[in-house]
Amino acid sequence: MLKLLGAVCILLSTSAIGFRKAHSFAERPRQIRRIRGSLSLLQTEIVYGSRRLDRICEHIAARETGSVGSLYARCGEYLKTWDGVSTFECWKRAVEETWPLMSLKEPEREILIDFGKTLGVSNREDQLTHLARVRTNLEVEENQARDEQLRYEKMCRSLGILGGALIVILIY
Amino acid sequence: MLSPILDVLPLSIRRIIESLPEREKKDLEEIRVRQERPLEVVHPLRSRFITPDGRLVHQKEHAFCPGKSVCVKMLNLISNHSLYALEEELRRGYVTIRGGHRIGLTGRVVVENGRVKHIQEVTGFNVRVAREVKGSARHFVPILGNGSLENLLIVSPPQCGKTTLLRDLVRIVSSGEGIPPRKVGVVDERSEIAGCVDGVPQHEVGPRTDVLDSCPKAEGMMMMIRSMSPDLLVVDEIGRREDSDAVFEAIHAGVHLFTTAHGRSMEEVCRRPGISELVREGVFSRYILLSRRKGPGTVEAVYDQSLNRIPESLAVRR
Repeated sequence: MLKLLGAVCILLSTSAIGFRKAHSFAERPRQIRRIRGSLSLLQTEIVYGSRRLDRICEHIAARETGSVGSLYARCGEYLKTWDGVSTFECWKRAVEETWPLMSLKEPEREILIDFGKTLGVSNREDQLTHLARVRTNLEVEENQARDEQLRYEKMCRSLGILGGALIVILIY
Repeated sequence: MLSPILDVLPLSIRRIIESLPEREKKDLEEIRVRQERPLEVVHPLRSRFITPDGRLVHQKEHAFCPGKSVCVKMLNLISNHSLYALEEELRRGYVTIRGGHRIGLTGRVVVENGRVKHIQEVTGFNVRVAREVKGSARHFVPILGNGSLENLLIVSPPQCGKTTLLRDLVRIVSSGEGIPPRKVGVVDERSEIAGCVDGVPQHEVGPRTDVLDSCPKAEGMMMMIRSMSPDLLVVDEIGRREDSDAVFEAIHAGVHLFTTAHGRSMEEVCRRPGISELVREGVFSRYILLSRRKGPGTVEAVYDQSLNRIPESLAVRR
């Protein structure tokens, strides 16, 4: 009886690990797409709205939920409350603090942090080019992430269950 | 009064300015920040450097020198991290902040098709403290005309208080202090008279005043006449050909005009082509000449239409 309970526990936990891994594969392209969407919003506000960056951040934070929203919320707050610190510092700190909530990988992080260096510090035209560049870069990552999702999502899930089953069989 | 200015100063400079004695803060005129060079503060009739512990000195050796990071921070604070929203301001070379104060900017200029596009590396800031001296124009009410308004030209060298005087005249005419109130249209090309931020005047310009902010003068005057039916048009610093054309247009439309011009004396002003024509045609019926002899706003003389001095008793120094 106890043995059976143990076997069920092992099976459940390995499946959970597998599902979680699979979820992160599914989540990554989705989050990249949401970030890209938020960047379009940012672009519209910069080019047509000409609003202040901290207000734009608040605006986007109100529209986006989850980790992307909290990235902008934090950035907006730092822009407003930190005394004359560069825009890059604020953005970088916001990215770093929301990172644990995201399922993104190193390339996206580099793209995002690199983008912070140009955010807000130049004229409209320049902002537009930088935004376009970031969005293209993110698009490449998104495609790659989607490929990975197709390849690994199901595999992770089955690997979790089957791996658990294997362990159970071996020790039973 | 200084709080909007303190908000845009980086912490290191803000501390120093805050530590100044009250009386020094009270008549502060300019704070000049230049990268790698001594921080300067300007008071009426004198300019001094400032040490890191807030003492005012004349030698530059002991002065506080803001570095590059301070200038970057200052630009961040002025622009609210949004340089793209300041394109127009960077082209003109100055920003108006809350309270109507103005910050002049210098640095490396980017030129496109022979025209200034914007300033790239901003390394020099001139924070000009805007001062409202309410009542500074009260003495001039008797010369503004009893029945209908006179057309007025204020002549003065820079920094002698002509914009301050003009602003107070706007307030007096618009609120009707001592004279019947009238509708006033201000074309504020350089955001100096009303000091608008987001289109809202930061200075008191009276309840019947409409402001076209950062609008070219000649075009703005026409727009005002067509759309706002002002009794009095107010513009700052006329001098170009198209300005005087617009002035004629306005005068013939039956609108009165208060304006200013740079110059040390009436002769000097009359030598400028745009203005000499206006003077010759007798467009203006009153002239006020200002100087800085006894501090900003010293009234040197008041003239009538044919450039005869009006008795001193009317031209009282405030």
